[in-house]
Amino acid sequence: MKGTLIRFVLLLAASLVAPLCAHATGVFRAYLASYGSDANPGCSVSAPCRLLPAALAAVADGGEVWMLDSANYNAGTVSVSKSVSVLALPGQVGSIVAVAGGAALNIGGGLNVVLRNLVIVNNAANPGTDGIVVSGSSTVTVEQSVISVPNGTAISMAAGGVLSVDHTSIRDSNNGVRGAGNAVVDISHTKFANIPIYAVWLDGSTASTTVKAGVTDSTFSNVHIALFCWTQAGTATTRGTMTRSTVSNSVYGVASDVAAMGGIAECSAGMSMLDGVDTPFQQSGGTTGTQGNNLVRNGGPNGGTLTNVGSM
Amino acid sequence: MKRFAGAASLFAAASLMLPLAAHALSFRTYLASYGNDGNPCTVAAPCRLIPAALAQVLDGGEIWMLDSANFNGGTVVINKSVSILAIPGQIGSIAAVGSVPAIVVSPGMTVLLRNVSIATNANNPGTDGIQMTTGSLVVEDSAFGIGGAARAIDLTGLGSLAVTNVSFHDGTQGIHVAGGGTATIANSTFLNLTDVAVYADGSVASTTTEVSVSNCRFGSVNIGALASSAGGALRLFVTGSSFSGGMYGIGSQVTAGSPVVVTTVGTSSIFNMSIAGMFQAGTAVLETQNNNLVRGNALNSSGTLALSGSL
Repeated sequence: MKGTLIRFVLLLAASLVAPLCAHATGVFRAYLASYGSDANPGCSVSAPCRLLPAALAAVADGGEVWMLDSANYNAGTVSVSKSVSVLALPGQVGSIVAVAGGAALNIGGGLNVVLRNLVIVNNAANPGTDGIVVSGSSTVTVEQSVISVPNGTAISMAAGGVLSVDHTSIRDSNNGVRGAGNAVVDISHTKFANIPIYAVWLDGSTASTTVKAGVTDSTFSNVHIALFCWTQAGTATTRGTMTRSTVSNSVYGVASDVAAMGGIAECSAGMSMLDGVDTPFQQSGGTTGTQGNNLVRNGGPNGGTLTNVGSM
Repeated sequence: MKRFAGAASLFAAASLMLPLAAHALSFRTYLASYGNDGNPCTVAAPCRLIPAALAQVLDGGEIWMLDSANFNGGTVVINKSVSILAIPGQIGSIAAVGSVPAIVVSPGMTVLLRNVSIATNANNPGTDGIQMTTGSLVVEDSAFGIGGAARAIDLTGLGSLAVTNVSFHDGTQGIHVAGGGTATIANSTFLNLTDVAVYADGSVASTTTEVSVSNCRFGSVNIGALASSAGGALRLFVTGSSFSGGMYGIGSQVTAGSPVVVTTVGTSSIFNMSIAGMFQAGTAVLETQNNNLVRGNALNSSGTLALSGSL
């Protein structure tokens, strides 16, 4: 009888400890749904949560958040402070809005974050600013998503890190993708449309930093500058290259500019088409290069000096 | 009369056996988050985990994942030729968990995986995504997120591998091919890998391993595509691909002996590598079509490049 009682007590203790341990480490995969509730513990598939902050609190570092159906999943800026993949199921729309003067997402430093199949837009009734702000040096991947934030920058890598953008549509935003600090930016199979300032902006405004970007298999339509390498700090470097891409009906295609304080700015293009661009290539103090195999038509003259960078 | 009774008995026996046989092996078996492995894996009564569906599917049959969920509890050993796919609009998750690989393809099988997501379990990490030796594996429209010191796909034998529209991110190696295997990789993306994304490995003597890469993208990986041998012959072809923001773009090297190692690169772009865009070492050949855009690397090339020309 005594042994049975001890076993019962141990079993009771184990049954209490196990959920606590699971809660402490977080779940591998947390779920969101339009019919969810943030009061649901663990954000399970059978009892999903409603908003992204609740799922981020429940998930383990390195885990996943799945949006099970189409809905909006935030009410204010979502701060991401753990490594995580956030995705909407195929066929669904996972919406995150920029609202009330803030960014839609703010990603901290030292993280690895994957965002897939999301729609990040501005709340017209209570506008926000940027789409995704990466405020520390993190690795961020954005895939198969749509970003439209008319009051801000779609994705801003403000303090270095690695950004990969793939199969994403960025439209109707002040700027498309901005890399600053020591950011490394890779963009492929992405569409930029209706960007009144810079579609891909390598921002060399911070001294002693190098910003790098590669753009491949992407399209730019009705943008002010498609690929812009810019420095205004004497010890800053910006290097960008575009291949197999199309720029159409825009003001500038590929531009390099070194402002008064100096620096190194080098942007080049190869195997690309620039159609109906007022100034296909612009050089203002930096180096603007061509591989010599771009198709340039229906536009105006180039500005500055164009350097043939050749092939290998 | 006796003969008729005998025939009736045989017919009754056959009618009893047929459902049993159909129940045991079906052309198509089904999985769902609401399934149960005690079910017959039919569309009306699906199973829950892949091993149950594999046990009930015919060799050469199909397994359909009807909704989005994780469909394994440990290593899935695929010991039949089979197609495993999540239906469009869903995600079929297979996790690498408990220090073992997510999937092992048994020798000689012909396997197709489509629309699956193979990731490591953050709470109890596994190792590789898929291991195979011989047979044939096709992977389409899928995603791998294998963290830690592991390979997303590891082919070590005479098998063949075809990968199309697949995303590999956040791990050590993407695709490793050794021991005379053949791999064709197209329209795929490799991101944030801490070692080699596509690795043609000639460590097995007296074998010829061939890997072709077309229309792929490599971002922030230490080495994009590498042919490296100390024994076996290697052929690596790279066309229409982009490499950006890693340490090395494409490498061709012989580390011991003098095996035939030839790497050919055309219509590709290599940007912003912190060490070298292309590198050649030993007796290996690295030939370019002279139409690649190689810019902004610490060294655009290291070693000797040969010209392959065009036809």
